[in-house]
Amino acid sequence: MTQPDPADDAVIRLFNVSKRFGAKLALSNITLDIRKGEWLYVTGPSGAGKSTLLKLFYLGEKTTSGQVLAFGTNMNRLTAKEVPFLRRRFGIIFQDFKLIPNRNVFENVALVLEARGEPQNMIDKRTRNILRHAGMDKRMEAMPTSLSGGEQQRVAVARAIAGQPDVILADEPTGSLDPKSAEIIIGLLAAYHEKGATVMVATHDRDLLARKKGRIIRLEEGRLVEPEPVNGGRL
Amino acid sequence: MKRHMKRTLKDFTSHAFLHGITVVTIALTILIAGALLLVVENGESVISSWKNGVRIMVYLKGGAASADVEGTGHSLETMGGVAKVSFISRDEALTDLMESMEGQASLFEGLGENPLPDAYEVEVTPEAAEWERVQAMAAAMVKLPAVDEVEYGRSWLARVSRLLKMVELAGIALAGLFFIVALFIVYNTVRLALYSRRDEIEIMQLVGATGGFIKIPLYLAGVLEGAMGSILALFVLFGAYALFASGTGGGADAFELSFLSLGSMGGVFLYGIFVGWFGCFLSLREFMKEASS
Repeated sequence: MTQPDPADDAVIRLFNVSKRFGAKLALSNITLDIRKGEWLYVTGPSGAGKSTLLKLFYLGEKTTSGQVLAFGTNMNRLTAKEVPFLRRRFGIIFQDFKLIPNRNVFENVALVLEARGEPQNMIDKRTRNILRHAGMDKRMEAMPTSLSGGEQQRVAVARAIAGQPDVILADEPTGSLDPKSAEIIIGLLAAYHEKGATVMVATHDRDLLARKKGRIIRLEEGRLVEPEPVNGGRL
Repeated sequence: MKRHMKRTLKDFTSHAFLHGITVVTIALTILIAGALLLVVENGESVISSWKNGVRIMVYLKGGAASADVEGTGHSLETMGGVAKVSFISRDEALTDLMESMEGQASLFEGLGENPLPDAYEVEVTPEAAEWERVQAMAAAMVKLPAVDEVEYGRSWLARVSRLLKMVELAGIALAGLFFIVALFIVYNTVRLALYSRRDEIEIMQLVGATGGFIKIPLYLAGVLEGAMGSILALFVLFGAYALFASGTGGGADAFELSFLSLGSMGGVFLYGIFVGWFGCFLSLREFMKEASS
Protein backbone atom coordinates (compact mmCIF):
# COMPACT_ATOMS: atom_id res chain seq x y z
CA MET A 1 0.00 0.00 0.00
CA THR A 2 1.46 3.33 -1.01
CA GLN A 3 1.54 6.20 1.42
CA PRO A 4 -0.30 9.36 0.23
CA ASP A 5 1.97 12.20 -0.79
CA PRO A 6 1.84 14.76 2.03
CA ALA A 7 1.51 17.45 -0.67
CA ASP A 8 -1.82 16.01 -1.83
CA ASP A 9 -3.77 17.82 0.88
CA ALA A 10 -1.58 20.93 0.96
CA VAL A 11 -3.52 24.16 0.52
CA ILE A 12 -0.39 26.30 0.50
CA ARG A 13 3.12 25.25 -0.56
CA LEU A 14 6.27 27.33 -0.35
CA PHE A 15 9.39 26.45 -2.31
CA ASN A 16 12.66 28.15 -1.38
CA VAL A 17 10.90 31.42 -0.68
CA SER A 18 12.94 34.49 0.19
CA LYS A 19 11.82 38.02 0.78
CA ARG A 20 14.16 40.96 0.90
CA PHE A 21 13.38 44.55 1.96
CA GLY A 22 16.33 46.50 0.62
CA ALA A 23 19.41 45.13 2.37
CA LYS A 24 17.38 43.25 5.00
CA LEU A 25 16.55 39.62 4.35
CA ALA A 26 13.12 39.17 5.99
CA LEU A 27 12.61 35.55 4.90
CA SER A 28 15.31 33.19 3.77
CA ASN A 29 14.82 30.07 1.71
CA ILE A 30 11.57 28.87 3.29
CA THR A 31 10.12 25.59 2.11
CA LEU A 32 6.85 24.63 3.77
CA ASP A 33 3.55 22.82 3.20
CA ILE A 34 0.38 23.89 4.97
CA ARG A 35 -2.20 21.16 4.91
CA LYS A 36 -5.95 21.40 4.57
CA GLY A 37 -7.71 21.61 7.94
CA GLU A 38 -4.60 21.99 10.06
CA TRP A 39 -4.02 24.46 12.87
CA LEU A 40 -0.59 25.95 12.49
CA TYR A 41 1.32 28.33 14.71
CA VAL A 42 4.13 30.48 13.32
CA THR A 43 6.26 31.54 16.27
CA GLY A 44 9.43 33.46 16.75
CA PRO A 45 10.63 36.74 18.21
CA SER A 46 9.53 40.14 16.90
CA GLY A 47 11.08 40.85 13.50
CA ALA A 48 11.60 37.15 12.78
CA GLY A 49 9.45 37.38 9.61
CA LYS A 50 6.13 35.95 10.90
CA SER A 51 3.95 38.76 9.51
CA THR A 52 5.89 38.84 6.25
CA LEU A 53 5.30 35.11 5.82
CA LEU A 54 1.55 35.56 6.28
CA LYS A 55 1.51 38.51 3.89
CA LEU A 56 2.98 36.35 1.12
CA PHE A 57 -0.12 34.15 1.19
CA TYR A 58 -2.63 36.90 0.48
CA LEU A 59 -0.21 38.87 -1.71
CA GLY A 60 0.23 41.64 0.81
CA GLU A 61 3.86 41.18 -0.21
CA LYS A 62 5.47 39.45 -3.15
CA THR A 63 8.35 37.02 -2.92
CA THR A 64 11.81 38.17 -3.94
CA SER A 65 12.60 34.64 -5.03
CA GLY A 66 11.03 31.21 -4.80
CA GLN A 67 7.42 30.19 -5.35
CA VAL A 68 4.21 30.17 -3.34
CA LEU A 69 1.40 27.90 -4.49
CA ALA A 70 -2.00 28.61 -2.97
CA PHE A 71 -4.78 26.17 -3.84
CA GLY A 72 -2.63 24.95 -6.69
CA THR A 73 -2.15 28.42 -8.16
CA ASN A 74 1.29 29.93 -8.54
CA MET A 75 0.97 33.30 -6.84
CA ASN A 76 3.71 34.84 -8.99
CA ARG A 77 1.59 34.27 -12.06
CA LEU A 78 -1.64 35.82 -10.78
CA THR A 79 -2.87 38.86 -12.68
CA ALA A 80 -4.07 41.95 -10.77
CA LYS A 81 -7.66 41.02 -11.64
CA GLU A 82 -7.27 37.53 -10.17
CA VAL A 83 -5.86 38.71 -6.83
CA PRO A 84 -9.23 39.70 -5.23
CA PHE A 85 -10.66 36.28 -6.03
CA LEU A 86 -7.70 34.53 -4.39
CA ARG A 87 -8.01 36.78 -1.33
CA ARG A 88 -11.62 35.67 -0.90
CA ARG A 89 -10.29 32.22 0.02
CA PHE A 90 -8.46 33.79 2.98
CA GLY A 91 -9.86 35.37 6.10
CA ILE A 92 -7.33 37.77 7.58
CA ILE A 93 -7.12 38.92 11.20
CA PHE A 94 -4.71 41.57 12.44
CA GLN A 95 -3.45 42.52 15.86
CA ASP A 96 -4.78 46.07 15.35
CA PHE A 97 -8.17 44.74 14.12
CA LYS A 98 -8.25 46.97 11.01
CA LEU A 99 -11.95 47.74 11.21
CA ILE A 100 -13.28 50.59 9.07
CA PRO A 101 -13.87 53.38 11.59
CA ASN A 102 -16.78 55.07 9.83
CA ARG A 103 -18.75 51.84 9.40
CA ASN A 104 -20.66 50.20 12.21
CA VAL A 105 -20.13 46.61 13.35
CA PHE A 106 -22.74 45.19 10.99
CA GLU A 107 -21.38 47.11 8.01
CA ASN A 108 -17.79 46.07 8.72
CA VAL A 109 -18.75 42.41 8.58
CA ALA A 110 -21.24 42.80 5.72
CA LEU A 111 -18.54 44.47 3.58
CA VAL A 112 -16.96 41.07 2.83
CA LEU A 113 -20.19 39.78 1.35
CA GLU A 114 -21.02 43.06 -0.40
CA ALA A 115 -17.63 42.94 -2.11
CA ARG A 116 -18.59 39.55 -3.53
CA GLY A 117 -21.85 40.88 -4.89
CA GLU A 118 -24.01 38.64 -2.69
CA PRO A 119 -27.75 39.45 -2.59
CA GLN A 120 -28.78 41.83 0.18
CA ASN A 121 -31.09 39.40 2.02
CA MET A 122 -28.29 36.82 2.17
CA ILE A 123 -25.86 39.47 3.42
CA ASP A 124 -28.25 40.53 6.18
CA LYS A 125 -28.98 36.97 7.25
CA ARG A 126 -25.42 35.70 7.29
CA THR A 127 -23.99 38.82 8.93
CA ARG A 128 -26.54 38.63 11.76
CA ASN A 129 -25.83 34.91 12.22
CA ILE A 130 -22.08 35.41 12.42
CA LEU A 131 -22.36 38.36 14.78
CA ARG A 132 -24.69 36.34 17.01
CA HIS A 133 -22.15 33.51 16.99
CA ALA A 134 -19.41 36.02 17.89
CA GLY A 135 -21.54 37.41 20.70
CA MET A 136 -21.74 40.82 19.03
CA ASP A 137 -25.39 40.79 17.93
CA LYS A 138 -26.32 43.34 20.61
CA ARG A 139 -23.75 45.77 19.29
CA MET A 140 -24.40 45.62 15.57
CA GLU A 141 -25.09 49.35 15.31
CA ALA A 142 -22.05 50.35 17.37
CA MET A 143 -19.11 52.10 15.78
CA PRO A 144 -15.70 50.39 16.17
CA THR A 145 -14.26 53.19 18.29
CA SER A 146 -16.93 52.62 20.94
CA LEU A 147 -15.91 48.95 21.37
CA SER A 148 -13.30 47.43 23.65
CA GLY A 149 -10.22 45.74 22.11
CA GLY A 150 -11.73 42.30 22.71
CA GLU A 151 -15.00 43.31 21.06
CA GLN A 152 -13.21 44.82 18.09
CA GLN A 153 -11.25 41.61 17.60
CA ARG A 154 -14.46 39.58 17.81
CA VAL A 155 -15.85 41.73 14.97
CA ALA A 156 -12.60 41.22 13.05
CA VAL A 157 -12.92 37.43 13.47
CA ALA A 158 -16.58 37.64 12.37
CA ARG A 159 -15.46 39.57 9.29
CA ALA A 160 -12.72 37.04 8.57
CA ILE A 161 -15.10 34.08 8.62
CA ALA A 162 -18.08 35.85 6.99
CA GLY A 163 -16.94 34.87 3.51
CA GLN A 164 -16.43 31.24 4.61
CA PRO A 165 -12.78 31.19 3.57
CA ASP A 166 -10.66 28.04 3.28
CA VAL A 167 -7.81 29.52 5.30
CA ILE A 168 -7.73 31.91 8.25
CA LEU A 169 -4.54 33.93 8.62
CA ALA A 170 -4.33 35.52 12.05
CA ASP A 171 -1.41 37.85 12.75
CA GLU A 172 -0.97 38.20 16.52
CA PRO A 173 -4.77 37.99 17.02
CA THR A 174 -4.53 38.14 20.80
CA GLY A 175 -1.47 40.36 21.02
CA SER A 176 -3.32 43.35 22.45
CA LEU A 177 -6.04 41.52 24.36
CA ASP A 178 -6.57 40.49 27.97
CA PRO A 179 -6.54 36.71 28.69
CA LYS A 180 -10.35 36.44 28.80
CA SER A 181 -10.76 38.16 25.43
CA ALA A 182 -7.93 36.07 24.00
CA GLU A 183 -9.78 32.94 25.16
CA ILE A 184 -12.95 34.07 23.35
CA ILE A 185 -11.05 34.81 20.13
CA ILE A 186 -9.29 31.45 20.13
CA GLY A 187 -12.65 29.81 20.86
CA LEU A 188 -14.21 31.47 17.82
CA LEU A 189 -11.30 30.47 15.60
CA ALA A 190 -11.37 26.92 16.98
CA ALA A 191 -15.08 26.64 16.18
CA TYR A 192 -14.43 27.67 12.60
CA HIS A 193 -11.44 25.31 12.42
CA GLU A 194 -13.67 22.42 13.44
CA LYS A 195 -15.73 23.02 10.31
CA GLY A 196 -12.68 22.03 8.27
CA ALA A 197 -10.88 25.31 7.75
CA THR A 198 -7.11 25.74 7.88
CA VAL A 199 -6.00 28.21 10.55
CA MET A 200 -2.58 29.79 10.65
CA VAL A 201 -1.73 31.93 13.66
CA ALA A 202 1.41 34.06 13.87
CA THR A 203 2.27 34.73 17.49
CA HIS A 204 5.12 35.11 19.92
CA ASP A 205 2.76 34.57 22.86
CA ARG A 206 3.70 31.18 24.38
CA ASP A 207 0.50 31.15 26.48
CA LEU A 208 -1.50 31.09 23.30
CA LEU A 209 0.25 27.90 22.17
CA ALA A 210 -1.05 26.18 25.26
CA ARG A 211 -4.66 27.11 24.56
CA LYS A 212 -5.08 25.09 21.39
CA LYS A 213 -3.22 22.15 19.92
CA GLY A 214 -1.51 22.67 16.61
CA ARG A 215 1.61 22.31 14.56
CA ILE A 216 4.27 24.83 15.43
CA ILE A 217 6.91 26.26 13.18
CA ARG A 218 9.51 28.71 14.39
CA LEU A 219 11.14 31.54 12.49
CA GLU A 220 14.36 33.20 13.55
CA GLU A 221 15.82 36.05 11.53
CA GLY A 222 13.78 34.98 8.56
CA ARG A 223 14.89 31.35 8.67
CA LEU A 224 12.72 28.39 9.43
CA VAL A 225 14.33 26.63 12.37
CA GLU A 226 13.43 23.18 13.62
CA PRO A 227 9.77 22.97 14.67
CA GLU A 228 9.19 22.82 18.41
CA PRO A 229 7.23 19.84 19.72
CA VAL A 230 5.03 21.84 22.11
CA ASN A 231 1.60 20.76 23.43
CA GLY A 232 1.40 17.62 21.31
CA GLY A 233 0.97 19.35 18.01
CA ARG A 234 1.78 17.13 15.07
CA LEU A 235 5.05 17.72 13.29
CA MET B 1 -25.44 49.99 -9.48
CA LYS B 2 -28.10 50.74 -6.85
CA ARG B 3 -25.79 49.36 -4.18
CA HIS B 4 -22.86 51.46 -5.46
CA MET B 5 -25.07 54.56 -5.48
CA LYS B 6 -26.17 53.82 -1.92
CA ARG B 7 -22.54 53.46 -0.84
CA THR B 8 -21.64 56.70 -2.62
CA LEU B 9 -24.40 58.64 -0.86
CA LYS B 10 -23.45 57.14 2.48
CA ASP B 11 -19.86 58.08 1.82
CA PHE B 12 -20.96 61.63 0.98
CA THR B 13 -22.55 61.99 4.40
CA SER B 14 -19.69 60.39 6.30
CA HIS B 15 -17.00 62.44 4.50
CA ALA B 16 -19.11 65.56 4.09
CA PHE B 17 -16.26 68.00 4.70
CA LEU B 18 -13.91 66.57 2.09
CA HIS B 19 -16.66 66.23 -0.50
CA GLY B 20 -17.84 69.74 0.35
CA ILE B 21 -14.39 71.18 -0.35
CA THR B 22 -14.25 69.40 -3.72
CA VAL B 23 -17.72 70.64 -4.69
CA VAL B 24 -16.84 74.24 -3.78
CA THR B 25 -13.53 73.98 -5.66
CA ILE B 26 -15.23 72.71 -8.80
CA ALA B 27 -17.93 75.38 -8.41
CA LEU B 28 -15.32 78.17 -8.18
CA THR B 29 -13.48 77.14 -11.31
CA ILE B 30 -16.72 76.63 -13.22
CA LEU B 31 -17.95 80.01 -11.98
CA ILE B 32 -14.99 81.78 -13.58
CA ALA B 33 -15.34 79.89 -16.87
CA GLY B 34 -19.14 80.40 -16.75
CA ALA B 35 -18.75 84.15 -16.21
CA LEU B 36 -16.54 84.37 -19.30
CA LEU B 37 -19.08 82.37 -21.28
CA LEU B 38 -21.81 84.74 -20.12
CA VAL B 39 -19.81 87.78 -21.33
CA VAL B 40 -19.10 86.17 -24.70
CA GLU B 41 -22.71 85.02 -25.19
CA ASN B 42 -24.10 88.47 -24.40
CA GLY B 43 -21.49 90.17 -26.56
CA GLU B 44 -22.35 87.86 -29.44
CA SER B 45 -26.04 88.51 -29.04
CA VAL B 46 -25.47 92.29 -29.08
CA ILE B 47 -23.24 92.03 -32.17
CA SER B 48 -25.76 89.77 -33.84
CA SER B 49 -28.58 92.26 -33.26
CA TRP B 50 -26.38 94.99 -34.69
CA LYS B 51 -25.48 92.87 -37.66
CA ASN B 52 -29.16 92.43 -38.45
CA GLY B 53 -29.33 96.14 -39.12
CA VAL B 54 -26.48 96.38 -41.66
CA ARG B 55 -27.66 98.20 -44.81
CA ILE B 56 -25.96 99.58 -47.92
CA MET B 57 -27.44 102.63 -49.66
CA VAL B 58 -26.88 102.50 -53.43
CA TYR B 59 -27.47 105.93 -55.01
CA LEU B 60 -28.22 105.97 -58.73
CA LYS B 61 -26.95 108.42 -61.31
CA GLY B 62 -29.34 111.28 -62.08
CA GLY B 63 -31.31 110.74 -65.25
CA ALA B 64 -30.62 106.99 -65.41
CA ALA B 65 -32.99 105.23 -67.80
CA SER B 66 -35.74 103.24 -66.10
CA ALA B 67 -34.41 100.06 -67.75
CA ASP B 68 -31.01 100.72 -66.14
CA VAL B 69 -32.66 101.35 -62.77
CA GLU B 70 -34.56 98.07 -63.01
CA GLY B 71 -31.43 96.26 -64.24
CA THR B 72 -29.45 97.59 -61.27
CA GLY B 73 -32.20 96.39 -58.91
CA HIS B 74 -32.05 92.94 -60.46
CA SER B 75 -28.24 92.83 -60.24
CA LEU B 76 -28.39 93.83 -56.57
CA GLU B 77 -30.99 91.16 -55.78
CA THR B 78 -28.87 88.41 -57.32
CA MET B 79 -25.74 89.49 -55.49
CA GLY B 80 -24.48 87.15 -52.73
CA GLY B 81 -25.08 88.29 -49.13
CA VAL B 82 -28.11 90.40 -50.05
CA ALA B 83 -31.22 89.75 -47.96
CA LYS B 84 -33.58 92.39 -49.38
CA VAL B 85 -33.49 95.18 -51.94
CA SER B 86 -35.94 98.12 -51.70
CA PHE B 87 -36.22 100.88 -54.26
CA ILE B 88 -36.55 104.38 -52.84
CA SER B 89 -37.47 106.95 -55.45
CA ARG B 90 -36.04 110.45 -55.16
CA ASP B 91 -39.57 111.78 -54.38
CA GLU B 92 -40.05 109.21 -51.59
CA ALA B 93 -36.64 110.07 -50.23
CA LEU B 94 -37.50 113.75 -50.14
CA THR B 95 -40.84 113.08 -48.45
CA ASP B 96 -39.11 110.89 -45.85
CA LEU B 97 -36.48 113.54 -45.30
CA MET B 98 -39.06 116.27 -44.87
CA GLU B 99 -41.03 114.11 -42.47
CA SER B 100 -37.97 113.34 -40.44
CA MET B 101 -37.08 117.04 -40.26
CA GLU B 102 -40.55 118.24 -39.37
CA GLY B 103 -40.40 121.65 -37.75
CA GLN B 104 -37.53 122.68 -39.97
CA ALA B 105 -39.63 123.00 -43.11
CA SER B 106 -38.03 126.35 -43.83
CA LEU B 107 -34.90 124.48 -44.90
CA PHE B 108 -36.77 123.01 -47.84
CA GLU B 109 -38.35 126.29 -48.93
CA GLY B 110 -36.90 127.56 -52.13
CA LEU B 111 -35.28 124.22 -52.79
CA GLY B 112 -36.69 124.20 -56.27
CA GLU B 113 -35.80 120.89 -57.90
CA ASN B 114 -35.49 117.74 -55.72
CA PRO B 115 -31.71 117.28 -55.23
CA LEU B 116 -31.96 113.70 -54.01
CA PRO B 117 -31.18 110.76 -56.32
CA ASP B 118 -33.13 107.54 -56.77
CA ALA B 119 -31.64 104.87 -54.55
CA TYR B 120 -31.75 101.24 -53.54
CA GLU B 121 -31.62 100.23 -49.90
CA VAL B 122 -29.81 96.90 -49.70
CA GLU B 123 -30.26 94.83 -46.53
CA VAL B 124 -27.31 92.56 -45.88
CA THR B 125 -27.83 89.03 -44.54
CA PRO B 126 -26.46 88.55 -40.95
CA GLU B 127 -23.96 86.00 -42.29
CA ALA B 128 -22.53 88.53 -44.72
CA ALA B 129 -22.52 91.38 -42.20
CA GLU B 130 -18.76 91.25 -41.70
CA TRP B 131 -16.84 94.42 -42.39
CA GLU B 132 -14.62 92.94 -45.08
CA ARG B 133 -17.57 91.31 -46.85
CA VAL B 134 -19.68 94.49 -46.79
CA GLN B 135 -16.70 96.39 -48.17
CA ALA B 136 -16.36 93.89 -51.04
CA MET B 137 -20.11 94.02 -51.77
CA ALA B 138 -20.03 97.82 -51.88
CA ALA B 139 -17.07 97.75 -54.25
CA ALA B 140 -18.99 95.43 -56.59
CA MET B 141 -22.13 97.58 -56.39
CA VAL B 142 -20.35 100.82 -57.25
CA LYS B 143 -19.16 99.23 -60.50
CA LEU B 144 -22.74 98.78 -61.78
CA PRO B 145 -23.31 101.23 -64.69
CA ALA B 146 -26.27 103.14 -63.20
CA VAL B 147 -24.73 103.48 -59.75
CA ASP B 148 -23.32 106.80 -58.75
CA GLU B 149 -22.36 106.26 -55.14
CA VAL B 150 -22.56 103.62 -52.41
CA GLU B 151 -22.77 104.40 -48.74
CA TYR B 152 -22.31 102.03 -45.86
CA GLY B 153 -21.38 102.86 -42.34
CA ARG B 154 -20.72 101.05 -39.12
CA SER B 155 -17.04 100.54 -39.56
CA TRP B 156 -17.08 100.38 -35.75
CA LEU B 157 -18.93 97.09 -36.15
CA ALA B 158 -15.71 95.63 -37.44
CA ARG B 159 -13.82 96.86 -34.41
CA VAL B 160 -16.44 95.51 -31.97
CA SER B 161 -16.53 92.21 -33.86
CA ARG B 162 -12.76 91.95 -33.63
CA LEU B 163 -12.85 92.85 -29.94
CA LEU B 164 -15.45 90.18 -29.27
CA LYS B 165 -13.44 87.64 -31.21
CA MET B 166 -10.48 88.49 -29.00
CA VAL B 167 -12.66 88.11 -25.88
CA GLU B 168 -13.88 84.80 -27.26
CA LEU B 169 -10.34 83.59 -27.90
CA ALA B 170 -9.24 84.81 -24.48
CA GLY B 171 -12.28 83.04 -23.06
CA ILE B 172 -11.30 79.77 -24.73
CA ALA B 173 -7.70 80.16 -23.53
CA LEU B 174 -8.85 81.04 -20.01
CA ALA B 175 -11.41 78.20 -20.00
CA GLY B 176 -8.59 75.85 -21.00
CA LEU B 177 -6.37 77.26 -18.28
CA PHE B 178 -9.13 77.01 -15.69
CA PHE B 179 -9.88 73.49 -16.84
CA ILE B 180 -6.29 72.54 -16.05
CA VAL B 181 -6.44 74.44 -12.74
CA ALA B 182 -9.78 72.80 -11.87
CA LEU B 183 -8.45 69.41 -12.81
CA PHE B 184 -5.33 69.94 -10.73
CA ILE B 185 -7.35 71.03 -7.70
CA VAL B 186 -9.90 68.23 -8.06
CA TYR B 187 -7.10 65.75 -8.61
CA ASN B 188 -5.41 66.87 -5.39
CA THR B 189 -8.62 67.06 -3.40
CA VAL B 190 -9.63 63.56 -4.48
CA ARG B 191 -6.11 62.37 -3.75
CA LEU B 192 -6.35 63.87 -0.28
CA ALA B 193 -9.70 62.16 0.19
CA LEU B 194 -8.24 58.88 -1.01
CA TYR B 195 -5.27 59.15 1.32
CA SER B 196 -7.56 59.85 4.25
CA ARG B 197 -9.34 56.61 3.36
CA ARG B 198 -6.36 54.51 2.39
CA ASP B 199 -6.88 52.18 5.38
CA GLU B 200 -10.46 51.63 4.35
CA ILE B 201 -9.43 50.94 0.75
CA GLU B 202 -6.66 48.63 1.93
CA ILE B 203 -9.16 46.68 4.06
CA MET B 204 -11.53 46.42 1.10
CA GLN B 205 -8.68 45.03 -1.00
CA LEU B 206 -7.81 42.53 1.73
CA VAL B 207 -11.35 41.17 1.96
CA GLY B 208 -11.30 40.49 -1.77
CA ALA B 209 -13.07 43.56 -3.16
CA THR B 210 -12.44 43.96 -6.87
CA GLY B 211 -11.10 47.16 -8.40
CA GLY B 212 -14.58 47.92 -9.71
CA PHE B 213 -16.18 47.54 -6.27
CA ILE B 214 -13.69 50.02 -4.82
CA LYS B 215 -13.55 52.43 -7.75
CA ILE B 216 -17.18 52.70 -8.90
CA PRO B 217 -18.44 54.57 -5.79
CA LEU B 218 -15.39 56.86 -5.99
CA TYR B 219 -16.12 57.62 -9.65
CA LEU B 220 -19.78 58.16 -8.80
CA ALA B 221 -18.66 60.54 -6.06
CA GLY B 222 -16.48 62.41 -8.60
CA VAL B 223 -19.38 62.71 -11.04
CA LEU B 224 -21.73 63.77 -8.23
CA GLU B 225 -19.22 66.37 -7.01
CA GLY B 226 -18.86 67.70 -10.56
CA ALA B 227 -22.64 67.87 -11.02
CA MET B 228 -23.15 69.56 -7.65
CA GLY B 229 -20.25 71.95 -8.32
CA SER B 230 -21.67 73.01 -11.68
CA ILE B 231 -25.20 73.46 -10.27
CA LEU B 232 -23.79 75.56 -7.43
CA ALA B 233 -21.74 77.62 -9.91
CA LEU B 234 -24.78 78.17 -12.15
CA PHE B 235 -26.85 79.35 -9.15
CA VAL B 236 -24.14 81.77 -8.01
CA LEU B 237 -23.61 82.98 -11.57
CA PHE B 238 -27.34 83.54 -11.99
CA GLY B 239 -27.45 85.45 -8.70
CA ALA B 240 -24.55 87.66 -9.80
CA TYR B 241 -26.13 88.14 -13.23
CA ALA B 242 -29.53 89.07 -11.74
CA LEU B 243 -27.83 91.56 -9.42
CA PHE B 244 -25.84 93.09 -12.29
CA ALA B 245 -28.82 93.16 -14.67
CA SER B 246 -31.01 94.89 -12.10
CA GLY B 247 -28.17 97.34 -11.44
CA THR B 248 -27.95 98.30 -15.11
CA GLY B 249 -31.75 98.83 -15.13
CA GLY B 250 -32.22 96.97 -18.39
CA GLY B 251 -30.46 99.71 -20.38
CA ALA B 252 -30.94 100.28 -24.08
CA ASP B 253 -32.46 97.44 -26.05
CA ALA B 254 -29.19 96.76 -27.84
CA PHE B 255 -27.49 96.08 -24.50
CA GLU B 256 -30.22 94.02 -22.92
CA LEU B 257 -28.54 91.19 -21.02
CA SER B 258 -29.65 87.61 -21.00
CA PHE B 259 -28.47 84.62 -18.93
CA LEU B 260 -26.72 81.62 -20.44
CA SER B 261 -28.70 79.68 -23.03
CA LEU B 262 -30.07 76.26 -22.11
CA GLY B 263 -27.41 74.65 -24.32
CA SER B 264 -24.62 76.55 -22.57
CA MET B 265 -26.00 75.63 -19.14
CA GLY B 266 -26.06 72.00 -20.27
CA GLY B 267 -22.48 72.42 -21.46
CA VAL B 268 -21.41 73.90 -18.12
CA PHE B 269 -23.13 71.03 -16.31
CA LEU B 270 -21.39 68.40 -18.44
CA TYR B 271 -18.09 70.26 -18.08
CA GLY B 272 -18.43 70.02 -14.27
CA ILE B 273 -19.22 66.32 -14.47
CA PHE B 274 -16.24 65.75 -16.74
CA VAL B 275 -13.88 67.69 -14.44
CA GLY B 276 -15.13 65.63 -11.45
CA TRP B 277 -14.78 62.34 -13.28
CA PHE B 278 -11.44 63.07 -14.91
CA GLY B 279 -9.90 64.44 -11.68
CA CYS B 280 -11.07 61.27 -9.96
CA PHE B 281 -9.73 59.10 -12.78
CA LEU B 282 -6.26 60.65 -12.58
CA SER B 283 -5.92 60.43 -8.80
CA LEU B 284 -7.41 56.94 -8.62
CA ARG B 285 -5.06 55.68 -11.31
CA GLU B 286 -2.08 56.93 -9.33
CA PHE B 287 -3.46 55.90 -5.96
CA MET B 288 -4.29 52.36 -7.01
CA LYS B 289 -0.86 52.02 -8.61
CA GLU B 290 0.74 53.04 -5.32
CA ALA B 291 -1.66 50.87 -3.30
CA SER B 292 -0.88 47.76 -5.31
CA SER B 293 2.89 48.33 -5.39
